[in-house]
Amino acid sequence: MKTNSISLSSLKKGQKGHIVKIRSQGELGRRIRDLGLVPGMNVTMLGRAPLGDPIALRVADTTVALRKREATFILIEQ
Amino acid sequence: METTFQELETMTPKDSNQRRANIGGLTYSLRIALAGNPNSGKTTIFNMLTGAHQHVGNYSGVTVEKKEGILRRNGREIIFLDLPGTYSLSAYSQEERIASETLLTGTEQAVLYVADAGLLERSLLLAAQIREMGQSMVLACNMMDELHAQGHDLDFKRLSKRLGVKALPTVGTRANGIDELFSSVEKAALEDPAPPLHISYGPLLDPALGELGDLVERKHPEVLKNYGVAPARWMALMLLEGNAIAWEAFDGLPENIRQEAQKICDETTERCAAGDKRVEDIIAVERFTFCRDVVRECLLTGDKTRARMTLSDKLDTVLAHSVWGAVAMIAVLYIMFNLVIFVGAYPQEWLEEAFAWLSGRLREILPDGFFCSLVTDGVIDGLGGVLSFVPLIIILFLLIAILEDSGYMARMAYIADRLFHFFGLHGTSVMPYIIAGGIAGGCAIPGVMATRTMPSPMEKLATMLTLPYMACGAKLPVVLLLAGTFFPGNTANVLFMTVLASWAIAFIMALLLRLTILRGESTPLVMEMPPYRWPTLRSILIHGWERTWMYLRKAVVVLLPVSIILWALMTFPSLPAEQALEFDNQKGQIERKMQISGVTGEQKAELREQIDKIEKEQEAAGLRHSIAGRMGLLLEQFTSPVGFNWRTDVALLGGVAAKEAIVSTLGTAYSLGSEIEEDDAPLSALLKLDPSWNAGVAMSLLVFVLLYSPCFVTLVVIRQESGSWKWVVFSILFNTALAYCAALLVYQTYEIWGKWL
Repeated sequence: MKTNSISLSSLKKGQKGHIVKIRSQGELGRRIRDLGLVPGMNVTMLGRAPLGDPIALRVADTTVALRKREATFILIEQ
Repeated sequence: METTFQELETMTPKDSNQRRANIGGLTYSLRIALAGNPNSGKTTIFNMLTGAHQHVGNYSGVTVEKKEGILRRNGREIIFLDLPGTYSLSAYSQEERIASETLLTGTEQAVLYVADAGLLERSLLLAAQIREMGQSMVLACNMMDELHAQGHDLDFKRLSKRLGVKALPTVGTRANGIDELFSSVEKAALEDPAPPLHISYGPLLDPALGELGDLVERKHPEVLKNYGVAPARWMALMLLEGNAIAWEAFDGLPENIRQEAQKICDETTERCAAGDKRVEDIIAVERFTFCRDVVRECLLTGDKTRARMTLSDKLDTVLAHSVWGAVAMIAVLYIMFNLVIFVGAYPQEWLEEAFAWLSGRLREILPDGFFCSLVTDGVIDGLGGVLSFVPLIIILFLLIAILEDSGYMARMAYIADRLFHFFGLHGTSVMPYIIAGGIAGGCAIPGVMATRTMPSPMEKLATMLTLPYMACGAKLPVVLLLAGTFFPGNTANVLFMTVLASWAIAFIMALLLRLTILRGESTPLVMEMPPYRWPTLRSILIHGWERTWMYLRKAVVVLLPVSIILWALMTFPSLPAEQALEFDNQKGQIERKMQISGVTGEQKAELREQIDKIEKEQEAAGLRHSIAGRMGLLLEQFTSPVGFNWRTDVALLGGVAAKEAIVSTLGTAYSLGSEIEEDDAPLSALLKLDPSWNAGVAMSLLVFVLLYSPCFVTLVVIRQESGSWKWVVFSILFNTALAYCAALLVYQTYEIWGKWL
């Protein structure tokens, strides 16, 4: 694994990155990929929900919401 | 990387005769499946194509809705099947499984794929999978108006060629392109399908796909025998992904075939792992790259502005903001609450007056006796109580339809997820809760049905079992009656407190359930937040009507017989002859007095009052004597600690049939046989005069009605959606026990408090 990759959940509002790896398998991995979160895609952190979780992301023209826990499975590079 | 259309044609097409043979005797009709992502406008296109000719049912064994529309055109029957909206053809959810299996069986001659033209890359992901499966397809690039507004256009010729489909522009909400769509779909269904789409998955996977394909197609063709449409490569791809549906193909076959396939898959996985890669990732990336390339080639970009996303983004900077988002959501709920309760009050009042007038007229026309009593006291009063709440329900369901169709509902799930998650629920629980009465005035029946789309069984059950605590439209008359009687001037506050209490209790119970009998991991939230759109009037009306109809059907199908049964229980057995005779004798004596000449008008009026009094006493004795009265009296000894008299008990029994019956039964119980001498006084006044009622009883009853057993139809729907009677029994017993304990606490606290003061 590359050393400079960080978890998607650590992005701050407005920050960007591109996905390098999805660390979850099975159903969750499939759901994440189905919404266009695949390695190589650019993501922008749009913000957090009022209670700090879930987070909203911009991926390929769509807005995707996922919980922080799920976001930790997605590794990105800035 | 990807193959051209010419290369596609060199591959062997599936034999069309064999394909048709699979459809058996159905060749005279054409079957078309509608597929697409959620929020792609698929349902709008379906409605435009089929109009009112729809049939809604369930897929066998599961609770996924099956919508079909049947049309006749050019002497042929065309059946449109609206497949559930999904993002892929994996086998993780019921919806995906159904979409996948339906397409694999080959009963559909063509697929009409609805894509959001503005999100073409993502939309094509599923379209590509269906084409890899080898289905004939017509690709409707929907919401083209939005793409045009951004200054873009699509090269449909090229798009058609690249995917081996007929691609067309449509605007579902304005019915643009629907006719062309119709003819293209018909044509596609009659022609042989284009060869399956071939996407290259690179040097790591392509050899394995070839090997697996060869295994299932040539070495062991029996693997594919159950599928009408399944090119070997598609099967290989599904096997490599570990798709459960594909692996089921080996069931019942010699074990060595499965092992052979498994060996290829394991080796491939290892080879990928050596390069720090995953099979699923490679498939996803390559498929996405293919779709992106297609879009890049076919999108005719104008100026670079992205108007729709920008507007949607601007809205989200407020509506999904980490502070203002919550404020906005509370404001939206508050406005909805007010609209439903205060605007809904007017038509409700008119309907109530109309029913009272009808009841009065019938009383004049019909001869006195059982029949008149059945029609007026039983049917009209019973049904009137329900139907007068229909306007309120309609307003609520139209507002909910606006929330859904505009895309705001997804934001509500986003904003509330953390809170719901804390109590063991899910962001997607928001909608069922609100439909069931979360902002007062919903109905638990469509609420339970709305849990259908929830992803996980545990959270779905927890939502389904706790949403009957919400202040549904049928409980509102009880709240309004009691608040108006015992807390005059504070009706709105009492109502608001009731709604808050129902949320609090539902949350606590959900948490308790999730910590005990519904223990389990919480389901991840991975959700698209669709761009905001103006909902069309048509879709709001269709959407709102579907839920209203569930409520209305209950009124007619369940409440009519229930009203009659309740009336009968409260009427029979009638008083024994000697007792009735006694009352008749008393009345007769007074009547004779009235006929004596020389009686003044004043005396006559006094005598008339005496007769009325005797009649009321007779009715009271009758009700006490009836089955319902006896049941109530029997229950009274158990309900006196919570402050309920036998009339309340009768009403609560009626409430299990339908909550609307509570107030009307109470009304019947009091007007049929009230010992209090107040002629034609409204129920509220009667309750105030009855010494067995006070504010403590009112609060206790309020709590009890909020929590006790869900109504009959809700129980039926819980059975249907949970698939088990166990949860029905649980709902009846647990909820009633909970209601009793809570009411006991409230009433006893009130009594002790009263003594202290």
